[in-house]
Amino acid sequence: MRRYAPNVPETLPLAACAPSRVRGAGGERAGWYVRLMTASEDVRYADDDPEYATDAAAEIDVEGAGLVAEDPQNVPADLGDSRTAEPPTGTAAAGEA
Amino acid sequence: MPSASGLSRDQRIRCRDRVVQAARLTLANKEHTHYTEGPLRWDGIKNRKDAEIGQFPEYSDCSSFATWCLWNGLVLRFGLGDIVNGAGWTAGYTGTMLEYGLPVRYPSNVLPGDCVIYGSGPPGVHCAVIVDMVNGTPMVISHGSEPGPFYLAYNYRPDVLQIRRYI
Repeated sequence: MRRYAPNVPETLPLAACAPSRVRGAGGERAGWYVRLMTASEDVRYADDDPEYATDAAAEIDVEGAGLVAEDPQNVPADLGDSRTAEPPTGTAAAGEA
Repeated sequence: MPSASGLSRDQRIRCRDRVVQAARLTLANKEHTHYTEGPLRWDGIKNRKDAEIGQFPEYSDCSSFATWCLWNGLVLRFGLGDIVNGAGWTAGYTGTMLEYGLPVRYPSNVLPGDCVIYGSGPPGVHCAVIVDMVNGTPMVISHGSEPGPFYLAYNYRPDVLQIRRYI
């Protein structure tokens, strides 16, 4: 069976992903997520790379001003995506330089 | 070691601005954009919708929306190949998005333009684009249903599978 992401365990610690533990995790180092990611060895993590160390500088103007977050309770359930990478349909290189 | 995209720091910053601009533009025009899982979901890229001149996809689903946002920065600004789905910018879904880019270890280290992929395991079932941080919480624009997209905390649903960086 094809593995789509070799760095992701086939079986996730679902219990560790219980909503009660995820909600409110905010931007802190959510323990369940870190355990999941560190369980994957031999993986190059983007945030371990010093190349990105200064990317978070305030030069990026992405303040959330004007945006009001939705209450997840008021958002319809996600329908997901197509669950398949459909073959090219004649639009090849539509965005290629 | 090169970044996921191979862009320089200054280029990455400009690229992220374009990705966020694309996502926010679509959010601001949510009444004119619709959710579909059919072939029309590639409207944004197929018809070369450029957010910088106010264009946005009329139809998309979560992964084609995220891909279009990244395409605005990676292709329209820097002319890069498909480093998001590896399909020549013509196809893809969360499964292919998990094959490209780099994972982010800590949610606190996310940057605008990173993508959150949701699901109980590969290949994932949903994705969203990170656009900013509010009080330390990464915020996403997610187009997972009609009438989306929505602006939400990244952990608005409990099954965060991975955060990935393509820029």
